[in-house]
Amino acid sequence: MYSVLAVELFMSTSSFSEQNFDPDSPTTCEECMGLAQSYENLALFLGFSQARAYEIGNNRYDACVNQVDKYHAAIQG
Amino acid sequence: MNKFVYLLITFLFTNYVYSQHIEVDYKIITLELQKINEVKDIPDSVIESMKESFELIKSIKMVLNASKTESYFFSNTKLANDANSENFRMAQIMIGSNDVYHSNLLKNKTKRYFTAYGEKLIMETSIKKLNWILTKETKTISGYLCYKAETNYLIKNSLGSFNKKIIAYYTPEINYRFGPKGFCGLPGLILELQDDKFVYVVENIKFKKENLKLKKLPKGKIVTEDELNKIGDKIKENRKW
Repeated sequence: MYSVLAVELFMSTSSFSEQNFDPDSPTTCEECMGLAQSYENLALFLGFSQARAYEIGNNRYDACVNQVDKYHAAIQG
Repeated sequence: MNKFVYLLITFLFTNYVYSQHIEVDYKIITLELQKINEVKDIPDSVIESMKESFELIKSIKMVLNASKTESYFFSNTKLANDANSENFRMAQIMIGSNDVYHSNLLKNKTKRYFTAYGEKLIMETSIKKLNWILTKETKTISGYLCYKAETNYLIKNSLGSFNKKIIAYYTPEINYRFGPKGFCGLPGLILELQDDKFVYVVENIKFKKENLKLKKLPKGKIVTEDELNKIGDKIKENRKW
């Protein structure tokens, strides 16, 4: 599943293994940008206000970048 | 039996007459969003995540504290242990559960205290401008006879303008003229309020003998809808994503 969930799952394991990481999960900030944009676009489509749609996207962006940072920190060791 | 009913009615009536304020709990029902299945070019995982957030909204409770002249509407729900925190956070944003609405009938104003674009903001609206249309349609909610009223409001976003129809069921039996999300000014308490996505339904009403405790409200910059959209446009130009 393309989500930060997989990274969270990966981070919750005590030792790193390539096998328990979902390859569809974002691993770069650029992917997080795309993810955040998708959330914002969906919120706009559903008729949420500009401000709420932004908050939804931004919240996802922050969470995603945070997990990507942890992922890279874990790889490096 | 008759004596018991008489005593119960007397007790409830006395409670109501001598009450200084009310505390009303509302649950939230999410309406089925057919529209979400019509969306294109959005990853399935994002759609699924959004659907889960709509489900999680049902676990958020909202509270209305009101005297005869003013009210506060807010949420006191914290994160459920078993909830995916990101989807729950999104549910909170969608429903605006961190917002506080303060309505004052004497000042004819509702102030919404909220955070957007990283700023603490306050938006004021006129209660009279809600332009309620009262109807004779009725239904009974929690034992109270309620009347239907309708109004509209406009939401603008970058995809266009969305006219939102609001349906309220209020009861003249409870003379507190307030309801969820700053919708007020009807001749009685709103027991049910519906917009295009959510329905707020009364769960519990407590009549309190004490005066309404004034809530400490956050400071913030006062903005209009247009000013808020301009802040959003500026953020869009400079944001990372």
